[in-house]
Amino acid sequence: MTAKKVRVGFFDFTGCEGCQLAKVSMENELPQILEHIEIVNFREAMSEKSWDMDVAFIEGSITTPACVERINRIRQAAPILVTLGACSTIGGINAIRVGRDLDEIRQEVYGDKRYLFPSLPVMPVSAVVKVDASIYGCPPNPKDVARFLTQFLAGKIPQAPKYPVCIECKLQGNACLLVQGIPCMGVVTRAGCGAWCPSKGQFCYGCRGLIPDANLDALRISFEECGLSQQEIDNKLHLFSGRELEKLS
Amino acid sequence: MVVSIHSGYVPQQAKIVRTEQMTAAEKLFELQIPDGPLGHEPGQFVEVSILGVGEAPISVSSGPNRGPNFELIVRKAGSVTEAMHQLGAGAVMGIRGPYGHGFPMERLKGSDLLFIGGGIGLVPLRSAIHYALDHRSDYGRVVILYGTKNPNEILFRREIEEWKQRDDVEFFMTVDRGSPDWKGNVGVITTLIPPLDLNITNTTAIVCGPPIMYKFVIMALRSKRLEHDQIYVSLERHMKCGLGKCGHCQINHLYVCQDGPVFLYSDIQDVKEAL
Amino acid sequence: MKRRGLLSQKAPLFIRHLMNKGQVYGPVKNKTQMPEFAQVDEPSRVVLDYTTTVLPPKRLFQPPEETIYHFSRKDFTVEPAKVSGDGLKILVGLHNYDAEGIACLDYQMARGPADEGWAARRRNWVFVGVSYEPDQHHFSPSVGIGPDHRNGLDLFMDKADGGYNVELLTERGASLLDGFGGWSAPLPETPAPKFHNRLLPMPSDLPHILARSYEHPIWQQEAKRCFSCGSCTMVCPTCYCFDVFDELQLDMESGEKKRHWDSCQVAPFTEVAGGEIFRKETSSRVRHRIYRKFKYITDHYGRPFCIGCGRCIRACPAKISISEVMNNLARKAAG
Repeated sequence: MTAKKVRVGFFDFTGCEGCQLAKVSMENELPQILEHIEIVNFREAMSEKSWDMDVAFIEGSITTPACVERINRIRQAAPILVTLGACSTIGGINAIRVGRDLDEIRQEVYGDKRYLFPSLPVMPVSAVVKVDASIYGCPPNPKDVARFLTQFLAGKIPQAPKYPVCIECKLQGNACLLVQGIPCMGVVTRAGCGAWCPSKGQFCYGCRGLIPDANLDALRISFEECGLSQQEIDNKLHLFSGRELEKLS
Repeated sequence: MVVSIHSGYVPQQAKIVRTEQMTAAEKLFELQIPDGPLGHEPGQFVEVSILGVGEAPISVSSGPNRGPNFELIVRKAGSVTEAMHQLGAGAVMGIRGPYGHGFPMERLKGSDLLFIGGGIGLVPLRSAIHYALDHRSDYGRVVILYGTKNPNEILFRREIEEWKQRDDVEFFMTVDRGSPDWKGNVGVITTLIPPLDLNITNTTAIVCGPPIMYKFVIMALRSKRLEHDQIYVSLERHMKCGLGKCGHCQINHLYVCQDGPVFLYSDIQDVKEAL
Repeated sequence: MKRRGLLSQKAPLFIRHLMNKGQVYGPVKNKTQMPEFAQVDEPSRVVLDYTTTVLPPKRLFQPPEETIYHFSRKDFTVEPAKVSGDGLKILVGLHNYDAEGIACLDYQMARGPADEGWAARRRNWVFVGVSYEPDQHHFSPSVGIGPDHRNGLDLFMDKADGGYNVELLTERGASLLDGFGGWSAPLPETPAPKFHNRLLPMPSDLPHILARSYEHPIWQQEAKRCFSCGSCTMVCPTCYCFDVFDELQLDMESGEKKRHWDSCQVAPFTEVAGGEIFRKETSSRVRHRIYRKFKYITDHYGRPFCIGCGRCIRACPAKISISEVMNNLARKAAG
């Protein structure tokens, strides 16, 4: 295919740079990807930034008034806007502060200088502007990123699976961790990672957020049976899905 | 020795001969296959594939006696259909099928036909309407009821005008919500049924529409004293393989892709997941 | 029936012997030390004394994920996937219920348009069964697969004192034994295994119980704890649903049409392009699974499409038990 290259911009908001590492770890795929896309705006990596793009990839969550202003500007410039990673897609780890007093947190982090750092409740990008598609995960799985890109370049707005990690876990032939008393979040967590963690014997942290209609009552019972306290269960649920839980309640 | 498997999934190339934007969301594709015609029964469907994007089950909308090509009317509703909408004349898509049981046009010879299409449900019905009109003397009355949500969603406008002109077709339509320039009926499709003067013993109803429509249409037909074995319905499900295996289209014990999509209502009235 | 003794320490030799006759598959330890059905490269890795596997032997004939065809978007060429049709394949260490599960799918895969992948991969197999010690979940005798059940097997290794008594069930099986000299006299038999789980109704009553249980409150009750995670069906030896999807290479030209196992228990399974989900309630999905096991196909196949292996019970994070559901329905029907 010798179609015109897709002009892509990458923009970062509040996040941990893990999504960057995920992209860089795709070193085998990158040359092929760059056959099809032209990076016109890569965070601070390019001095002369271009706003003439076909698609914007957003990393990080929205946490300050300045973020809101900037994401609106990007949305205006980009015909298609894609969130990349848990923070921009579901609020991510940052949303762990959901439900806590904002001033208290600012005091904790910035001390007396807290008034220099205006903050907002943590939001996924979709709470501020329209999002056309999302690449889930913390970090995003390179295979999932590649799958997204090929489908996207083929003219499809890729949809993330709406079923839980268990499907992919069973395709790998894994024995269920939750059945063994290990508090795995896979049963309520959106698939697409290929059961990355449980296949290595590590319980799922829920980094891709909740599936629609996740049975959280049943999860609480199961986690209690694993020996977790209510506080520990809440912590597990809020680790990535604080924003989604807030929406549910 | 190695053996090839899954030949049943291999699509043949279908060339787009002509397209026509029918509404904002629906586009007509006239397709040609190397060894055409397709050889379908009215009411059957094909699996359309856009390589690299995926497959979607689409009803054949033209009658089997309308030349070597066939027509699909595709609503933009998912990634495959969106990709299809980007294609124009000369482009190629994959086709496999036709699949399933269609309308039993041969068995219905001599019968009065009452077609009831809701929204995009007219698309599969049109293949049977074509068939009836192409074998007009084989059938009694041909009555067509058509309802859409609003005037913007009306399909086959030119053809509808032809049906209205014919004195051997009785065509009635309605929209759920009118618009300032809409002069026709306003109301749900079931409102078209009570005024009909039907020869009850010799009428077969052929119904296709959104899931919500069936219950009310069948109730209206029942109050006209039509029996359950005088009603055919065509059901929409996600037929992914078309071969009665993948399970996505299953309703209770039936596979819509193989046992349907057309069912005699009396055969499925006790199949709880059907309607 | 002809039988020969095989001492435990000779079992690896026997498997080595079979490896000279054909490709041998069986329960071998995977990376997590769990037995899973795979090709045997070393006889000592075969686990003959196992409770069950996570995935059923179905995976050998319908892999969890497989290619349907390769394609090129450039010139619209499509090349169907190929499998090796050559040579004898021997599956050792099969429990008798799993052989019955394969027979169930042989029936279903041949119905209507036959599944070519299943048919091709099922050619040229010899099945060597082995007896097993049931855990608290097995209930195979309740679905007609008692300890003496040998349907579909060519040889059977019946656990005995100090080893196995190898039963010669078919000519094809017997011919595999040519040239093996490690036999003993038949060994003393061990007592028949005890089952700790069972269905209360007779197998033939199961469809009738379900025929009057469609609106039963039990489906809602089970749905309260069901995660809709799909594990029960993913590990089921008689489930066969799959999803079909495209995978494109980064060259944006070549790719594959693929399929992987799918589950009717997850909510999006029945979703159509317009967004409608036809089996939206968890309870309707819970019910669908049970009906698929004991009614829908059973009505024409004649036996339950459940082989009592208990895999779905072991795999369920919500502790839903198919035997408990059926027993509750039977009790309520009787009471």
